[in-house]
Amino acid sequence: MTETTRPLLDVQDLTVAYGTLTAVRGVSLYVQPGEIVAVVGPNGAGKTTTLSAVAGLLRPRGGTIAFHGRSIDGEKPEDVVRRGIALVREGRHILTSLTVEENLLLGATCRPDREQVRRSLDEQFSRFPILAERRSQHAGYLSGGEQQQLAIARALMSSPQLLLLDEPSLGLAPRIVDGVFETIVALREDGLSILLVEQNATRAVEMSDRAYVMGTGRVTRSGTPEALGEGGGMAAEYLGLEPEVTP
Amino acid sequence: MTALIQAALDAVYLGSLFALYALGVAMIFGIMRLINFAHASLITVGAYAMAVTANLPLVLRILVTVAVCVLLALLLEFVAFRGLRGADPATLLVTSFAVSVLLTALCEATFGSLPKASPLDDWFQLSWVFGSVYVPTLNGVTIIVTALLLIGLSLFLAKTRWGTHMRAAAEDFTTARMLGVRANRVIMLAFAISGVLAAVAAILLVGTTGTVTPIFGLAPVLYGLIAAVVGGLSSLRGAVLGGFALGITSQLLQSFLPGDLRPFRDAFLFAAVFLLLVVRPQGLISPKQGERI
Ligand SMILES: Nc1ncnc2c1ncn2[C@@H]1O[C@H](COP(=O)(O)OP(=O)(O)OP(=O)(O)O)[C@@H](O)[C@H]1O
Ligand SMILES: [Mg+2]
Repeated sequence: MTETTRPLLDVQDLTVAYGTLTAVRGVSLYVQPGEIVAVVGPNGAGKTTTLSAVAGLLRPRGGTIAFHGRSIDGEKPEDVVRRGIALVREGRHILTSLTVEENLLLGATCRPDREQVRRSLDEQFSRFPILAERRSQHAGYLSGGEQQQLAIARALMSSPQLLLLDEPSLGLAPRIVDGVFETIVALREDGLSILLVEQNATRAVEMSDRAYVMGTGRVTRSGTPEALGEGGGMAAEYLGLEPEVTP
Repeated sequence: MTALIQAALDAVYLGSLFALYALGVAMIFGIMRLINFAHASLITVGAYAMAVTANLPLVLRILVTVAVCVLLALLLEFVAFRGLRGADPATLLVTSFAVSVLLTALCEATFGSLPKASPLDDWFQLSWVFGSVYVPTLNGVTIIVTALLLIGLSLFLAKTRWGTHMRAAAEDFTTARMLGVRANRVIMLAFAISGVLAAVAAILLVGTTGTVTPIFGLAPVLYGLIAAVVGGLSSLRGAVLGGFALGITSQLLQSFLPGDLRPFRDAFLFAAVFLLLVVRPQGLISPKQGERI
């Protein structure tokens, strides 16, 4: 792979631990501007841990995280979002006591210009019409699919350059899942770079420019979807049916 | 009829005070999961501020007291609690005990353990007369001031940007931070508000006692804590409700218990609290059913 541009996100040798349990050991990955990069792997592989460290929720024990070539490791989550990285966490984490609109506006906390924020809000409402319909309802009353749309829209309100998505399709009906994946593709077409963590491995890898396969805290393989092998081969790899290969 | 109105007004007065105490405790708990026992010290120090400034005009005394309580609250946050963010609740509770004991000792060293006069203006000792109902001025002022504070605080939380940040942080601190809400700022804001609540409680309370001792704030915070637990500790609405429930029940017991049982009023009161918590351990308002604030 030829690297003509400097990566937007560059994670090198990342190690993250919970107390004595090292959940991520020496993970390196990068995202180029405009790419969709998928990270797949079985339960407990360390995907969420990796994203959490990038977003500043966990302090890395080792390694570096650079965004636009600047080190961001150890920064607080409220500062990371100001740099242009937004994370949609696993489980959506909608603020149920706030209205849909309050949730969205909260996503724009880091932006000072109210006029631009208004415009972003209108963009989200036209991208996700259901949110416009429900703007003044408490977000707790939304269905799972609607909450996922709200979580993505809320992250977009910070006007990020890099969107981190952690299992956006989890627990949603198939028709709704289609919608979520369409949204992701549309966002990339608008110029957003995306790091996508998915259990739905085949599908995530197919839509990505490059993918990483993780197992027990390490990257076991990486490359373009073609290089990783289509469909069945991919699934076998991700289920751990083949011996691990170092990248 | 008159007796009933009189009892009701007295009950609302006590309820207002308890709601103020409970709100000060719940404000910090909602954001930080810290049961801030040092709130007692804030009230005590506020009452000493009233004593030290006794010769100044009332408006000035109030301003000084509010300023002192807010600054002390911010200082405690910075010195004692900032390093403990995310620590387990037991550690936080013990720290707040330690802070409270330390400040009590400091007050004692500075002002002695004897009661120090901290009088309010004579005007407060008069009564408002409506027909045959007498309302001591202080009680009336307490009810009105509490009502205005509650309205002001709900408007602040509901309508302003910072209010939304506080509600978000109270529901899910991590998510709020990820969306850009600055942790230090909301926590400092919560402490500052608790400082204002402590100052107001101190001012109203010295109106009845006229004096202050180093343990002045202890009983109010105990009642406040119980009221907040009764209402549902992590909801501000619950804290206010619990404050009124406790105050009103207490006053009704005082008014209507037979004379020979009256000395045991608090025993009856806390038996009722105990029963309530057996039936509804989560308090009157539980966050799972409704909103946290
Ligand atoms: N808060 C935590 N405390 C302790 N251990 C944790 C914590 N969160 C995750 N772990 C452990 O870290 C390892 C990696 O977990 P992580 O959540 O990153 O995996 P994942 O790849 O996101 O899995 P899933 O597909 O189930 O979401 C697992 O062994 C998990 O048990
Ligand atoms: Mg995960």
